[in-house]
Amino acid sequence: MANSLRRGARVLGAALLILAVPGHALDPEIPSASPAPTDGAVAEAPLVEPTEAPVTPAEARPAAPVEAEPANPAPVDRLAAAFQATASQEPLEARVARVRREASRMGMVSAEPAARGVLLAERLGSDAARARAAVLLAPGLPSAWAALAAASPGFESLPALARGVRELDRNLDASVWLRATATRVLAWALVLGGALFLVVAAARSAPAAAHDLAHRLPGRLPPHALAAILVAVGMLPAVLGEGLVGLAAGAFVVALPWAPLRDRAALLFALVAVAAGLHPVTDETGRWIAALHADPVTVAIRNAEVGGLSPAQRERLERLAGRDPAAVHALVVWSKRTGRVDEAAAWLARLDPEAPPHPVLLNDAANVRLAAGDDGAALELYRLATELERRPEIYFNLAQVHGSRIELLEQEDALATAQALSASTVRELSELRGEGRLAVDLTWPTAELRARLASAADGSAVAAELRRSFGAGRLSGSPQAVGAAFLGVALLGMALGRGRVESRVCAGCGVRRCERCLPLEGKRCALCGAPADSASPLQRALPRARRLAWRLVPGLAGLSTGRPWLGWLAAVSAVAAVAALALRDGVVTDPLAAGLAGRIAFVLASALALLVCVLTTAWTLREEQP
Amino acid sequence: MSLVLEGTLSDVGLADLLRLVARESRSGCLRVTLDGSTYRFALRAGRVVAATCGDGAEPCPVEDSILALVRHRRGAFRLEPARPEEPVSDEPGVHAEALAERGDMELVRLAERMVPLGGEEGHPRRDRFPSSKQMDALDAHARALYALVNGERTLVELIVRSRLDPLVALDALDQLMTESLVKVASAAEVRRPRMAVPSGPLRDWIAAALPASLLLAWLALSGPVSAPQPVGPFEIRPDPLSAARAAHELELLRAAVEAHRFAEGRWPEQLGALVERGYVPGTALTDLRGRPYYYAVRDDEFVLLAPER
Repeated sequence: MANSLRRGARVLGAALLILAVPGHALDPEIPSASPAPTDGAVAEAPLVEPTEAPVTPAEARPAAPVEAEPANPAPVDRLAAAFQATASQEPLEARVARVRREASRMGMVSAEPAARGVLLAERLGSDAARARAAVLLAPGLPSAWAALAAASPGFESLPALARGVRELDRNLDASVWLRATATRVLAWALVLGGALFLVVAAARSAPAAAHDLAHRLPGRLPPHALAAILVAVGMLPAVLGEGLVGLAAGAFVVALPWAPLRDRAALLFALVAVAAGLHPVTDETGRWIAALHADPVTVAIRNAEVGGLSPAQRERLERLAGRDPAAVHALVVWSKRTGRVDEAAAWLARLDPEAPPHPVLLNDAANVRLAAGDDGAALELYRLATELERRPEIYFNLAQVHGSRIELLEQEDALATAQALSASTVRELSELRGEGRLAVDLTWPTAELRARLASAADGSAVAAELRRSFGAGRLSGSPQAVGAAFLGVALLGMALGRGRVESRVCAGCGVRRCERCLPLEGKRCALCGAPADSASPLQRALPRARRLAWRLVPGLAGLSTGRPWLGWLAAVSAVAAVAALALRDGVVTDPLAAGLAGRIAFVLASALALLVCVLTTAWTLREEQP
Repeated sequence: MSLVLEGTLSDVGLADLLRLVARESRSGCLRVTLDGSTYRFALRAGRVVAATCGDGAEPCPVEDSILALVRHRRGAFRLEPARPEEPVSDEPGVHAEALAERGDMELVRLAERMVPLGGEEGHPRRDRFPSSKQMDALDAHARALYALVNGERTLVELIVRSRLDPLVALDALDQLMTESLVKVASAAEVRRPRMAVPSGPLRDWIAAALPASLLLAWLALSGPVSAPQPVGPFEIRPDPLSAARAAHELELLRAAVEAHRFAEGRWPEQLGALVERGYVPGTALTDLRGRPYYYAVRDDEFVLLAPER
């Protein structure tokens, strides 16, 4: 039932979308690129070649001119003009309120360039005043909320802080920056944490390995020679240029054969995790680093939404208007905000009527009809949009149309629905609207834009550079090389483990023995009669040092107490804590989007990882006797 | 007048001491200390009339004590003359000469047991690793002795280090040989090892050189090392990570320039104005290699470029 209703709404919405546009806009002639914004246009830095899809000749033909419309300034210029309209002696709050009203008239919720300007210009007022103004101008900017949190006293900062961290994933620039840095932290945690875990395991297995080798190798090698062999085996891959990953592989070879059976699965998992950190996770980091400029169309869509679109970007969007709904959305929003309502309707007419309508486009169409004075069509389009997606912004717009038509009951219903969906959003929009009308332009879903950037990005070269920091040589070449090398390492470890004999340290005489050199009678040494355990004489002599080492060396407690998985988790979380703290400013520069919120997010993540490490270690040692 | 005679059993065996007592018809006390235990033998006119052992001076059979001690070459003895005030035992005792002869016979028997094991200079060595079933079948003495067998210790050294009764130790060794866990090599075989395994410092050096040998072998297998190729003077090495970072820094500068435009009402004349007003840190104006970004205001637009890479 719901599906059929939804399908019907789509067909009806598409038809209404066509019928709603003015008659002259249905002319097959493509509306021309309107005169380029005379001011405020931003020239593109030719850092990245355009990677948009190829354009067919029909779509690429020059657009025919439409009837000349009065050229209005770009949205950012209108906002700047509103801000600079009066003398600077005027209070900041009044200037920002004027900008806010101007933005609301254009349907803009988040005017990020304006918010950044207020935030950065210290001469405009106190930190708190500027932060409040920035939040009012751009509620979707994480750095604005973080600035407000920093300017708020004590616990009053917490809501703003939480909102800033939450907005990190909703803001396109901030979310891309966040993902690039987060995946880098994860890569460090997996590679370095895994290597640390394996090295600790190898150090624990080394005495047993040396004892076993002493039996297997011909002659009687002295202890220092056995130690040299083990260190050489462990360090050989690293010496051969495989860096941290090679160290992990070498440690695995030493650790696996002589580790207890219960530890072996965890060791193998740690090695696989190192490989995962080296390749897929680092590939993901490279993709997100390269993503921000990978798709010029997506960048243009974002710029159009926040009010700044260069002529080149607009031309790029126009060439894709026939087949890219997001490009159409950007053009519609831009045309409407610059006062070219007919042009906005013409862009909507370029959509494929058979294609399923998008709620954002339906909302755009409704806003265009509203700007043209056709409240009835706008009402229907809003309703259709709510059939497709129940977003509080659409119900908020719907309520305003009902209000203007004096349909108070319907207005109340729409507002109630909007508040039920998100009371905070309705409250925020009501504050932004002020005394006038705010027909909110929806932003294209951030997840979709992010997916476009990610799919267009080729981060392989960047990822290869990032892998160099792990020191891997041949292993950094391809996942297949790592897989083959690690498979070989695992087989070598298993081969060395065949025929091994477990050895123990006699607590009485302090000498490591196995069945080949001194049989144990039960759990007692045949020579001295003392109970046999696995503690070395040094460990028995320094119990405090041993307990301290368990707490200070991540992973050691888990390996020592037979809980290797907890040991791996402790090692990885400890490295993650350090990496998150070290990379709190980002693996790449933050384009004034995440700001302090990003830093706080990574400091919090670092604290969380540290807490995991501490709790894991405490849980591991919970049965330890003081 | 008899003198106090003192020494070690390795110098004068117990059988010889007993012959001395018999020949000189001595009376007095013979004390033998072995592994911390003290044995006292009361002598009267060349006869051993009583024996005690341990610190508590517990009485023990004379003949068994003599036979137990006669096998050992370690330990010390002290032969003291009788003091007039000491009470004299009425026991008839055993003539010391007879005890000496029995001691000799015991030693002969022990030596005969040791002959198939290579005698005192025989070198028992491990034949193969025992299975779990074999280990379970061995008694504790055999296990302890097996732990001490390393191919270098002689039969006598093994018996001494095991702290077992020599006959018990020999029985344990028999058991190990029956199970084919130990076989005896002659002294000549020990001196002429079958494998030319280097020993001492040479072996240490070989062990230390093993990693280097592996490294050299790997390098040899990986192919010839080619000479480095000269790099052309105009070759440009792409640095994708720097390029990506520069793109992000440009985005920061772009946002700062737009913010300046909004707050100040005009474009900044130079990027340095952003630093002066605290919009961006000074390091943001150059790339990772310290080269400045290009910025120019043209009409009412601005151009922002990264330095050539």
